[in-house]
Amino acid sequence: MRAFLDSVAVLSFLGTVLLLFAFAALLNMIRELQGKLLQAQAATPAAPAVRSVARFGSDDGLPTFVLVVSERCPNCQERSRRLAAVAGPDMAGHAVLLASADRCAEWVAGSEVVPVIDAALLGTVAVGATPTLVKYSADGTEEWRRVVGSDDDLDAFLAVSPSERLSA
Amino acid sequence: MQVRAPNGQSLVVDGNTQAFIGGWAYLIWAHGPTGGTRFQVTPAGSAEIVSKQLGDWSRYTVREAQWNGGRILSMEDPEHGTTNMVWVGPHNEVATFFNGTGVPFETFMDILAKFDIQDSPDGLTMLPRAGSGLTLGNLLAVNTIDQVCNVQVKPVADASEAIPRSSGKRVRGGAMWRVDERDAAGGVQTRSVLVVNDTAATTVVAARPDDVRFIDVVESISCRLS
Repeated sequence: MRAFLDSVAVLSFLGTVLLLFAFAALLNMIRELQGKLLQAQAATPAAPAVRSVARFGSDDGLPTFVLVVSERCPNCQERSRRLAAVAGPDMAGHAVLLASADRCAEWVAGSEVVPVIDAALLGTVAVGATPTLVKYSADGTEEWRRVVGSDDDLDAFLAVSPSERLSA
Repeated sequence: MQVRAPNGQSLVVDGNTQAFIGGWAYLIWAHGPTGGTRFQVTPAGSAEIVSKQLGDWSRYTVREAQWNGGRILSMEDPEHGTTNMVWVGPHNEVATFFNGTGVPFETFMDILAKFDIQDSPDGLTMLPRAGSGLTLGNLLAVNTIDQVCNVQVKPVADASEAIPRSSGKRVRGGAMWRVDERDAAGGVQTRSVLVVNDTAATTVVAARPDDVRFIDVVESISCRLS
């Protein structure tokens, strides 16, 4: 009986040692995983990814102002008409109207504003409110975006001079 | 009549023989780690109509855009250096006040984005989103019976300090105390009553102190928040 108890004690001791080894191995695996995760996190920038749209880049080094509008929005129509009135050689940049409905293109018909009717692109740009003006630098990187609540605000964002404002 | 208050509570008002002049207006505060913000929730279009009636509209620099299925308005007062911002939904609107001018819409949108705003004909609810760290408090619901009285309802817990220790007169809406403000000559300048029940504390302010219709309202009106 004594011999049996001794052998049980030895076996349980061996079992504990084996469990300790397994535990150490598991700890190592967790540390390796943590290390890899930290490396992966360091590889991606902490700041949110820079938003850019290649289509809104330009070859002449000038920025592109994109007015994002929606169809059922009287202010969008007013801002579009204002953009159509001031867009031209005097404006320091290109002017684009981005919408998902064809009807919106009519708001800038006959002007220098390029209408882009593209629901998928509209979803990518993803503005909260309309009308919103988004400025893209020549390489298509977004510089800023602002909700445009009045024609005066639009002029200010486009940096149109007061004299042009009067003539438009 | 049952309506929904901005904090999600249901407000049940009945017993008034003469109808209210319009929908309920609510004042509510959102308290957070950076302080409190006051919101006014009113029937859609109220802010614009009221400021036009008061003759303030022409003084304002008005900006407008579309956001979250409704109009978003900025009414800037250059004279006083203040800005009122309003989101006008299909049925109701939410307004708040900013010091200064040139406040971008984004500031207001960032505040509203912290709430789950649901607008329905019953009322607009704006419950703080999880993780916003905001809590709603100090609800006040206001309405008017034309030429008779003004009715202000708040949760009974917010009014505990204003409730007299004496037992009030029993009326249909709860226990009632009369509060008279008198002028120097002793005449009643403003007559109001406080009606308290287990859920709400209601102040009814008379348009004219001796109007019998005011007494009728006080005797019969019942306001409950649940």
